[in-house]
Amino acid sequence: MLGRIVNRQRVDVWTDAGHGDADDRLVAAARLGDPEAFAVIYQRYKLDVWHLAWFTLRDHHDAEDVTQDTFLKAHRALGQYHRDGSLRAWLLTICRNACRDRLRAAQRHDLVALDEELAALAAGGEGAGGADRERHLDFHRALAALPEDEREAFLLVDVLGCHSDEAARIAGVRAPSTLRSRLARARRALGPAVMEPEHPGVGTEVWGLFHSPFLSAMVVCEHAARDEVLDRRQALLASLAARSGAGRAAGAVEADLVAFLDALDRRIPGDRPVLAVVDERPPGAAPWLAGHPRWRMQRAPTHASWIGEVDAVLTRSAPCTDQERNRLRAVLQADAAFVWTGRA
Amino acid sequence: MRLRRHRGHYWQAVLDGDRSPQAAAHLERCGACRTRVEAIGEVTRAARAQAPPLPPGLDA
Repeated sequence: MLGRIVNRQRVDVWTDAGHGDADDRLVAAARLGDPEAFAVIYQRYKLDVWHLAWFTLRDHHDAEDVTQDTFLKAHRALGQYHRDGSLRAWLLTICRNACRDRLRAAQRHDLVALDEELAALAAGGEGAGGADRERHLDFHRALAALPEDEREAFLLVDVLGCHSDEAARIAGVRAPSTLRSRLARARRALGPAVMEPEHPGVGTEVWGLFHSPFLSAMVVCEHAARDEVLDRRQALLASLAARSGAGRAAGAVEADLVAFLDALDRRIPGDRPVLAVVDERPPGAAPWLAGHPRWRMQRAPTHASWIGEVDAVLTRSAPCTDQERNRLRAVLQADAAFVWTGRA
Repeated sequence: MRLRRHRGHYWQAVLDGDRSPQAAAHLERCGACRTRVEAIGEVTRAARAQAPPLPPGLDA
């Protein structure tokens, strides 16, 4: 039946860029029994539906079945289509529900299919070159590791190009902000899989933290002795506990930052290179850096937040309990100033 | 020194399709937003590159 519906050439009268009114005219014509109108709908949206089905199911056979089912169901349910949403969103919603039904019915776990795919890729099944294949694998692993709702948000918005409001409707999420939060988490998780590593070197230790509502900096230095690391960790935790929460005016932040750098420069032994990881590169710090050649300043990696980078370095150098980490994040996410220079 | 609040960035809005002059101007002067947009663009291109072509049975 589907073949009969869609196996037609595009019809000129319907080939204007298909959105909004044009889609509504197509649906109206299809409702009146015009098979050519539905053929144009199919041509217009088959790739979107196929991609959503394939990325969700990761199985060619199942994705092909679901794509066909989606258009068959849509054809039968044309009377239920309302103009308040886009035709594409309506079709993708049908597809998404069909995918979920299929996964539920088969009690299939995505990772099983993915493992097979990864094995094929690792064996060179798709002919990808060495570095590209590694990157491809990293990306697939990162995508598979995402929670289902975050993966769905990423696929709908970034792969299929839906607006986040439209994606929220397709995913059955009442608040678009919820969808956007899921999307933000997915983007942060997937970024490292395709980006060059930008982390400070392994073995770096945190010597100081500077946080304000306008600018944040973490100072790290390599090759600290173990006892020094533990002492500083204790000092940091004590400092968090004693935090007053006092804020500073925006105009004072640059001077505060330079004072912070000065204090650490005096504390850190003179032969050690020092790195300041910042969330914004403050132009006013350039003269200070020019006068202190062992210091470098770099922005936090593009795929991570500054707080995430602090977390990562602390985890590597001086692991915190969940409670300690939560306290640290709460302090660093607050709008009040917090400055720690290695002493409680 | 021009100071910005952490929450005053536009990269999420730009990725969500904001093409307003305000967003464009911010992207022009904010390296952090620009690099984030480029990074996510890279992720998206990687994903799209892996999408298989339509199988012959559906390519009617």
